[in-house]
Amino acid sequence: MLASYKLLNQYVKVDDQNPEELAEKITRIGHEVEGHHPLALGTKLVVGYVKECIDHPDSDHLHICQVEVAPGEVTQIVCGAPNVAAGEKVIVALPGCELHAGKISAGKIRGAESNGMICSIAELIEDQRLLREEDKAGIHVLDQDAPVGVEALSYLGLDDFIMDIGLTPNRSDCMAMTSLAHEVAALLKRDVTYPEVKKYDEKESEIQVNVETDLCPFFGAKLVKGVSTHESPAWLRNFLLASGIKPINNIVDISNFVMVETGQPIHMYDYDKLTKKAFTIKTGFDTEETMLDGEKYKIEPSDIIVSTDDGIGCIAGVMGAESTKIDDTTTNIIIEAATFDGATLRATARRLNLLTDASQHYIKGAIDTANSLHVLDRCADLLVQLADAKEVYKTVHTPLHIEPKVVETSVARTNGLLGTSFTAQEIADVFERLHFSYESDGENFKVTIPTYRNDISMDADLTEEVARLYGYDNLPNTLPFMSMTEGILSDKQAKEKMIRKTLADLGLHEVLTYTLTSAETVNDFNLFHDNDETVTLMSPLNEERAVVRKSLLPALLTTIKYNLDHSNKDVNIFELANTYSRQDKEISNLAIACTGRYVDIPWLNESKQVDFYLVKGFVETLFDKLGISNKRYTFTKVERDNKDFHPGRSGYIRFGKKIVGVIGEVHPAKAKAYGVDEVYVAELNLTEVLNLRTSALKFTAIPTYPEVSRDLALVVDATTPAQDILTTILKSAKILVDAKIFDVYEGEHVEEGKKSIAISLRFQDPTKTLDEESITKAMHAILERVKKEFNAVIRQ
Amino acid sequence: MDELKRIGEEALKKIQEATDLKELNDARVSYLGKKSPIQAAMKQMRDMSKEERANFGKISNEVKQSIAKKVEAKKAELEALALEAKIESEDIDISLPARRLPAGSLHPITIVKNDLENLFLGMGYEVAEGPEVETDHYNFELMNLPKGHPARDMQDTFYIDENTLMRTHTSPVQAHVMLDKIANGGAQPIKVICPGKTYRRDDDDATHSHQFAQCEGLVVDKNITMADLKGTLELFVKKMFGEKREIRLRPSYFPFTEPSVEVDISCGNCGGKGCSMCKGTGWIEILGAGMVNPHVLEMCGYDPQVWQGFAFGIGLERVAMLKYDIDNIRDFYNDDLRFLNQFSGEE
Repeated sequence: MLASYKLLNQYVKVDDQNPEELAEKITRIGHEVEGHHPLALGTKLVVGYVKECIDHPDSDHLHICQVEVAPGEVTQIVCGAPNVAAGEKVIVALPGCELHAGKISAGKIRGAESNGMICSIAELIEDQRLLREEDKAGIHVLDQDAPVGVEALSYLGLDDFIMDIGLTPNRSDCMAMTSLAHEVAALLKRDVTYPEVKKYDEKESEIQVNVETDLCPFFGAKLVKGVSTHESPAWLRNFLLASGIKPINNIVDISNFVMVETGQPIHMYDYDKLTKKAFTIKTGFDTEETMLDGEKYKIEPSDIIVSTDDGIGCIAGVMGAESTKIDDTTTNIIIEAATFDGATLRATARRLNLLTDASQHYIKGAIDTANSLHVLDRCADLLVQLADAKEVYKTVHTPLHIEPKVVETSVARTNGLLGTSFTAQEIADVFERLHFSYESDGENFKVTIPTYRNDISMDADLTEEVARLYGYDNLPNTLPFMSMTEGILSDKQAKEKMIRKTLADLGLHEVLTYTLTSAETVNDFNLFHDNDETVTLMSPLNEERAVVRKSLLPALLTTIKYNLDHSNKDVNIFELANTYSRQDKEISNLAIACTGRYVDIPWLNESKQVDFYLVKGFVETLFDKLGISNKRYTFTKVERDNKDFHPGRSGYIRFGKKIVGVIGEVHPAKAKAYGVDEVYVAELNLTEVLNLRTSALKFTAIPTYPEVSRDLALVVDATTPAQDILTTILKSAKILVDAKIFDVYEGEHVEEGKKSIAISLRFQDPTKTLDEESITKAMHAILERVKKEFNAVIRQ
Repeated sequence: MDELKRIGEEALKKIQEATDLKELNDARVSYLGKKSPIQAAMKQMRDMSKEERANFGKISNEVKQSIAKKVEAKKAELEALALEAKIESEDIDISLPARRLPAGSLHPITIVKNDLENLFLGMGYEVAEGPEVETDHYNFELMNLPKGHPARDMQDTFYIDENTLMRTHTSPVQAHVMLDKIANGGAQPIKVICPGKTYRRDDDDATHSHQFAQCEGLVVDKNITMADLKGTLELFVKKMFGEKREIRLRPSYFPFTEPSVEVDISCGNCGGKGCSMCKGTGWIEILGAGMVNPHVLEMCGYDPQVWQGFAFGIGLERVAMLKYDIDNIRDFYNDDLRFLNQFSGEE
């Protein structure tokens, strides 16, 4: 909200305060002044008198003027405005003057010397939306009695300073300048002056008010007759300009000004346009109506309507109807001040895209209903003073009984929450500064809260008042005094941290990608959420971010694509994040994606392209670190018709039958769709993996008897998984302690469709030195077994 | 005798002239071997008198010893030369790049999260997590934001259905933690931080992101005060940004805390004097905090007449941006390797 320094000064004395320092102080009590600026910019602006004005000989629109800029001091200024003429009093920007559009300097215009500029209002005020056409069309002509040489902004009353305050939602009451004035008064320890409202000898009116909905707790209407419409006085226009409101005419300006002053939106009806002088406030209309901006709007049954003559008089708190609006010919006015339900109004205003200033006051809860009758009197008084109203009638209104709230607190409660040692007197002092009345026995307080402070309802609220007015800088710094606690990560958290650290140490970069993705790709690579329903946003910002992801791989491929497009060719990344499907299913996923090279040291001629086995190595390292032995899981190839993964180069990681992850190459067709090339990936269901039983490390004594090695080359079907052979071999002989593949070969000298696997075997007996006989026996057992299970023969 | 001496001198000369170990060995063999001229000369001993023989024997021994000694000395000399030559030939350019293992990195948001966890774990806090797909009840209602509350406008929300949404802050984890305690033996003291992802319906630009990370803090006991909050936050700021940084609390409003404050940190760029980074104020907004609103305590099963506590919410991107001088929030989500590589050394 915009707050005028000069308007604020009407209610609390601030004109002895430096505006910028005041802004900082206001920020420190909780109303953040997000910006501040003068209403009109310009340092060297004076009232001038155009003594002479002739056409520029070298131009069809410029004038050469002799302008008196100080008593007796005449200077030449070239002016292009069509309305400049000799004998006018004008605003002159002298050389050196800085306007929002730039700096004025002396110079020559088409050969004629010019020592300044004659200004329009548009050149002084930056926000052009607030200006009338005439302010922009030509220079501003001052009254004839304007004294030559005086500072023009103060002469015009535009020497104001504007603070842009970001009010917190609980303090919308400060949208009323009187309420803001109370804050400043408490800050500066000063009093608040309310404007004097003259009481008139009021007659009874024939207006009737009938409220038929709970959504309107109060409705008041006041008839004023005999007004005339014209321009508002300068002070009123300037206050509105400084409040960011465009001045229109005296009637409209008064209603806007009263809202700025009191926070209460005012609506006005043309009395003579109403056949029945009655207002009914209700819901349930389902129609279309032309409103006062000339546009047609659809009205829904949930909208609160002020109904006149059985039709739409006003969409409550939002906008009045064309049929009842006041215009230049209006003489008799009904002023409305009412309270409407903010939430309902918000729905209406949003739907109609009419978040007007007035509706914002209701939506944000700026209204002090208890003050409504006074607001109507203030409005009527201004209409008498500024719009020549002749007759003021008694306000017709619904019952108004609002008891001020009484909130209790104590010295102990206050200090107990703040950790301070304020005395009862210091606390009482805050209530006095805020003009809260209270009763106290020296320990307990009963505080009566002014009706405009709708944010205070409990002792913590009063404690906040004490803290913010004394200043949080004055609070001591302590640490919580509590019983000792352990302060360690949970098992899951510690493991996740270890996984991140391990993968980073292995040379992978951790990435952070978006949880929200497109419906189109949400089922790509989805392995753990099966056919569970996708979590879909009701109103996404765009199609790209419309659903919650089920796999991290699409985002990792997109990240790879982004990097390839930015000349980062070797991309080895991972991410650990949650994925979701409906039915409260949350899975913690870990995904790895690698493309390009893993090792690259060109001058040593060492370069290692990423491949399946690299990613498999990352995954197995993690399992090792998690204490999950490789005897507990198996790899099985993905389905031949898998669309996400390369069927020949990808496999599931299984614990028993359960799939807990996948490792493989992205299916070339899928890779193409994502704009990437050969990418090797892995994705694990960490929720499952971290729940697996982990084995504690068991130490085995270093054997004292020597070991014996034997090599074995087997020929098997090319499709037989080598791991299966190893697993079988290891089960075949007790004295066999290890078996390692050291060569795999397909091609010349090996039958078509077969492969040769060379395995190095290590035998050992912990109790004695092995003899040749037991080794031969073991070798025999191994060969029998692999022959039986895999039809394997020794390679000749 | 003179013959012996002559041979001896000749031998020493040959040895001295040897340029490598082979020549030296050849010289050794030819003067000390079975066919050496010394051996030949010694054959004359048979014809000598006893005295002459003794003398001859003595001299020939001396000659042989001096040759052997010379050979050893020359050998050591040649070996030293050979080693020197070998070392010379093995010179490398140590300025060439190292054969380093591939260097990965943690994401800066993870690094900042680790920093926070380490700091608060050290003070006995636990780390709690909650769901990112959250209910309206936890995200809003239990945080004292009933339907129609004007502050709901502050947090434009991605709704999934009427009762489900992407959480807009990590504050609902407060409610999860408190209600968990109530369900497991009743109200007990709490000291917890809750880092996690949060979502708001914001268009992405340099300063806004529809997804961002927060870290909530919650401490509840019977005597926790605002001064404890201030002391804790000051400690956090000094540990995270350096001992010279100061904090400033400004009154503010959050529905789930009362009193509520915004916390500013003195600008590290200008030291508080005012510069373009802090928009001339000398202060930079860093987090929101306050005393847990009694309504929140009550809804989460903690009697506000008995229990009180503080809560704070830290934006992790904000912390990372200030700590590392990053000015575009999109950098965190683009995951450009040229960005990520810079965090290689950090944990």
